[in-house]
Amino acid sequence: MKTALTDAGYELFSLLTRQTFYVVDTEYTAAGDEIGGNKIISIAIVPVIQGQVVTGPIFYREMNPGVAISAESSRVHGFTNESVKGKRDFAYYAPSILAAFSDPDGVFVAHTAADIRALRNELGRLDARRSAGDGKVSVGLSDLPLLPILDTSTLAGHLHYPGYGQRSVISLGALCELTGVEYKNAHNAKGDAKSTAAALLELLAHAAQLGEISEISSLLSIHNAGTTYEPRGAQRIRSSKRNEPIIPQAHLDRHLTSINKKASKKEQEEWIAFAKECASLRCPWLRDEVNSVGKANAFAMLDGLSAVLPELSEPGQSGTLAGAILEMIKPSHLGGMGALAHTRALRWWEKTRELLTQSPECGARSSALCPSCLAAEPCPRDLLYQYVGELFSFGAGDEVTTERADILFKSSNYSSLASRKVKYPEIAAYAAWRVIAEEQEQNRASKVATHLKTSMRLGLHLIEPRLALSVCGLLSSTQSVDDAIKIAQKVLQQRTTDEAYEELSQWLIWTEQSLAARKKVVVKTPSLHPRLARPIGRENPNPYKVT
Amino acid sequence: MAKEPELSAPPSCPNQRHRSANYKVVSKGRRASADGVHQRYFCKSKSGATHSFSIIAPSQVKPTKKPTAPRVVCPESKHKDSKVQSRGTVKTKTGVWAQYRCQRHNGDAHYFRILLSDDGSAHITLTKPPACPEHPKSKVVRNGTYGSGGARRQRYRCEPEDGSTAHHFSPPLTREAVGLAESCSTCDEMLSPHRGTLTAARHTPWSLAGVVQALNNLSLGSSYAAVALDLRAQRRLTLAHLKEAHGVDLTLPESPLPPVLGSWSRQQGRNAWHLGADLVEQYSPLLYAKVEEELIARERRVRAENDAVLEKDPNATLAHPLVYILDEQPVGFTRWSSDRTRYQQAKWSLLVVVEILWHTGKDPLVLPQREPRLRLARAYPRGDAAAWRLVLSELPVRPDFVIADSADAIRSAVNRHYGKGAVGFIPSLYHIHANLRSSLIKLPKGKTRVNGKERLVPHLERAMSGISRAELMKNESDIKAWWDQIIKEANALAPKQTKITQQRKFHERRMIEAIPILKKNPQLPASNAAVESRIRLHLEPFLENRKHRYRNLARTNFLMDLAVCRAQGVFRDLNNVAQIIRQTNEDARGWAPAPRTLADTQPALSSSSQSAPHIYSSLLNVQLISELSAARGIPLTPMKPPLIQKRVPPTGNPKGRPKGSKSKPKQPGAATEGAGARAGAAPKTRGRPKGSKSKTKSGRP
Repeated sequence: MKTALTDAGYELFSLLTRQTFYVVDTEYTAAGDEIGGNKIISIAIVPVIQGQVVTGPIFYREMNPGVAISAESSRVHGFTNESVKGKRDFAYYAPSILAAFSDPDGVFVAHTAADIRALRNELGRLDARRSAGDGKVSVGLSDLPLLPILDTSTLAGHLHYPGYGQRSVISLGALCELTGVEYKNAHNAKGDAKSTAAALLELLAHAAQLGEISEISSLLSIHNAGTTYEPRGAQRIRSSKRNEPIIPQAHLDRHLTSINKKASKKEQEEWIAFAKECASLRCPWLRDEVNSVGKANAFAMLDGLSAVLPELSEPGQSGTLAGAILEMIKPSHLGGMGALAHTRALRWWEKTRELLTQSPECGARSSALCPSCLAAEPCPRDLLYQYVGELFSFGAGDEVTTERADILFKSSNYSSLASRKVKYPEIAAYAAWRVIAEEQEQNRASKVATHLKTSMRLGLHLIEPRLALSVCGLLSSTQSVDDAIKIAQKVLQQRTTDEAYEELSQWLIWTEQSLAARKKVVVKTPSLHPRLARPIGRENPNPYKVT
Repeated sequence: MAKEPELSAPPSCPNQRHRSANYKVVSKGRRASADGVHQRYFCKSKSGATHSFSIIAPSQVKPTKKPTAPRVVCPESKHKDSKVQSRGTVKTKTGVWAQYRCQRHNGDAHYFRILLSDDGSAHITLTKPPACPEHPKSKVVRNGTYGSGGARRQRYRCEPEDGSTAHHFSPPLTREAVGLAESCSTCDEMLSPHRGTLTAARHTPWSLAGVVQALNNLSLGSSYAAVALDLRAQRRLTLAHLKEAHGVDLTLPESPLPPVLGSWSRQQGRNAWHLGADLVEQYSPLLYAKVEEELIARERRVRAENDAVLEKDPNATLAHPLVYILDEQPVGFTRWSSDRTRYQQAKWSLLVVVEILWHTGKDPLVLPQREPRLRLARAYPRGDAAAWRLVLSELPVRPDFVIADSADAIRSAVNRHYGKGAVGFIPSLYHIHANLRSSLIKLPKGKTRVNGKERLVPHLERAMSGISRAELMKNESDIKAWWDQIIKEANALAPKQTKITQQRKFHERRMIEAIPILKKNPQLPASNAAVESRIRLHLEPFLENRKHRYRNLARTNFLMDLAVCRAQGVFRDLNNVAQIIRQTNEDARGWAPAPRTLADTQPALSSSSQSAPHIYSSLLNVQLISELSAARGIPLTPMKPPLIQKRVPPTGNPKGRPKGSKSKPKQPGAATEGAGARAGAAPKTRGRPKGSKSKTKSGRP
């Protein structure tokens, strides 16, 4: 136990643990409401008697849920349709499950209210079968003993356990980490129940050491998690981790043997097949893999990697691959030698853009996310054009030069933005912004003004959000705010995960609301007692206010 | 036991009807009872009927002690040597008051009263009621209380000397009503009725002491919610004590908390944070203004002294150079995007300025000691050159030296703000070292493990140790030789190290530029470790566990001002803080500055959404930097406005210009649409002779 108990604390701990705690954990199908609630696949009941987890064999049963187990559910607990094929159903085990709650004064303990709800659903279904005349069913919901519930997902918060912080519920893994309890065999009913029991004892020891609660009844009334007849509380804990892809160990092992040297043709083909597998699994290590493989092979492998795009059919996969491609073509990456020469960048982009457009996007708020989207970063699919645009703006060099800027903004040049805009509007727009940003940095005001004007004439500011933000900021301070707002609204219609759109959106909200606030006529009611009112002007000046 | 004398004359019967000549009362001895000795009497009627009654024996009744007035001096500060005579006591609803007459040497006299405690032996603190703000010389007496619950305040009545109508008033900063004539073992001292707990401002339930303590906690990095909950808890304790020990019930009926799952503190924190934020908004500018005034005065003095020295001898070494150490602390977190479709990364920057104070010892051969002190901390959406210029614009004078890492933004801002070369720039040696080390450790065979930690291989470590303050103060050739050595070692591990070469290109020139400065001023630091440590000490508590909660640019900066106030020693004496707040609020008739004027503008709630959107944050609005620069008159990149191509209504001629005419025709509405519309119509041909130099399609003239 993490909490060291004093003599007085131990006395209180003994009082708190006089009753028997039945720590229950279940694994169930994720079928949900379609079949009248989840169906139990396995259940474990760990009794805690006199402040100690029972050391002998614990109650554990696996059963056939009678419905198909979804792949998603299988990935969590490992049970498949095949593995439960020969097992008996819940009705067979129900009497022994109910008999396991032998102490009528005991307390039902679980992590979240999902387990008791699953159990009640199963017993409710038995009731229905019994009333339909099924003679095999001997027990039902009414046979479930009425026990108070302790929910360990919220108990730590009610006891103000150190480190719990401001969260409302806590996952079992996090609770075990917090309480110093070993958490192995996650999503195994037996392992979870044992860990929950150990965490419960630690929480009760903490409560005893605080000395504020001396009876379990007081704790139950504070906790207010209901009873087995009327359970309350969270059914599940939302976690970002549940969206994380599950990568097989065999695949992870392959990442340990990456290529560091110039690869042969065969090795290249093998690696591209491996990259395809990574993309299919939405493997977050693919980008790291490119860092080691790409140093010697980026130029040769880029086309092969791009050709994988049409073979990726699920959301999140193309984003994963785009992340790898992005690592390969970064101009400043791989020792300054990206896989794309500026001479072929546009041609390559023309092909890749089409493939990208045809491939499915990352699903918003779903599990089908690429590693970047999962980390709340912009999706590489939406950033790829920027690196091509940067290469295009650099030309043969490795930075934007004045000569290159002149070439780009000359209206009649073959490489100019005007001519490239037709076929590659996003590249031209980004290159324009890149040049203007560089000129702003170097304080070349006249060039900036000229090039902004040219960009606007070409309509590039309606394509690239960064350029749009520069133009909007400038227009709103010098000419027409309404024009700037229209531009921002138009650009935001094509919003992607690129964070420049977020900046533009922040500007738009601020501008619109500032305008509305200025128009708003504030009618001040005259004070009936001016002598008693706050003196006029009694407010601190706001040096950060922009009107 | 000696027999006590009986009453000389028997009393009349307690029965009113027996008080006539037909009845006679005779004494029948004494009898002891639980409440003392009683004198017994028989009341006999002429008809023979008798009944008895008793009264407590006269010797058992304690004579009433008339309260005596203790000897005191006059409470008027200038009347200490006056003759004070007691004028007896008077009992009022409040308690027993001792009355005195104070006789001055010049013959003047006045009366005053002092409230006596229960036993009549001690008396309360001698204080006067507050003066009426309208009639300073009038007579002021307590006149009940006003307000309810915990906000019950003492009220006074003013009876003007000039005979005008009496009125009631309360002083600018009100005081809590004091319950009198109680005895409480906790409250050791009985308060004067004029000395109840002082409130911080009108229309607030918080005491001045509580507010000062809250500001102190905020300056230490406590969260808004923690401070607010603490204030409320203290208030609850006070009210509970008043109710239990003094019987004064100032509590209001508590609203039942809504049933929620999860931690109570979370719910409370959500409701309470604004109280802490309001205190920052109201009082931080007051405190910082005082600090800033002193800082500006000191910096101007040092600047003037240094300028005088440099005017005499431009090559002179400054004993106390004005030095700023600058650094940026980027703050990144995850939040909902403004369209609430996904989580995304967001960031803002904390820009920190640390000043160096010099302490010269008695020994002239010993270099002056450096004391780094937090000078300014600002939160801005980005840490770019424009944001740094905003920070520098708050510093009153040009520093002699700036020490910073190799960030282009800082160097660029310093050069633009003070002029190129006007300020000596020293690159932080620590950062050069760290950058180079991180590049070298990534080389194949460039690292080894010592106690589980990655370290550079020994020969690279030896090469790295060559870069030190002593090395920097040598000459240019030594620095070049050191870089040669590093590149040689790196190339031995992995040939053609472009990254190390790029780093050399970037850092070497700056290191060489710093040599003469460091040679001439050996007391200057060659690293910005001071700013790193100040960030760790003073500012990291503000970011711990809540960096993602900051939204408001102005309020966050006001909070940072509190950190600066602490670093500058304002909170060393909390009485000083209380005095500043009290003085300022009393000057404004007890009103604190209006709170909640800093709120960010937010879009209105749509009918479908249930919760507030929280999608706009001024701290994340990048555009605000340029807007603020413009508002403060800081020229950033002087850009001419681009000209919008306005749609021109069709006329007969699609080009809008009649053949052969040189001047542009006036378009309908062009005059009202501004110069932009007119100029934008023909951007290409403006200023060129017709047909002479316009560019062809091929781009050749």
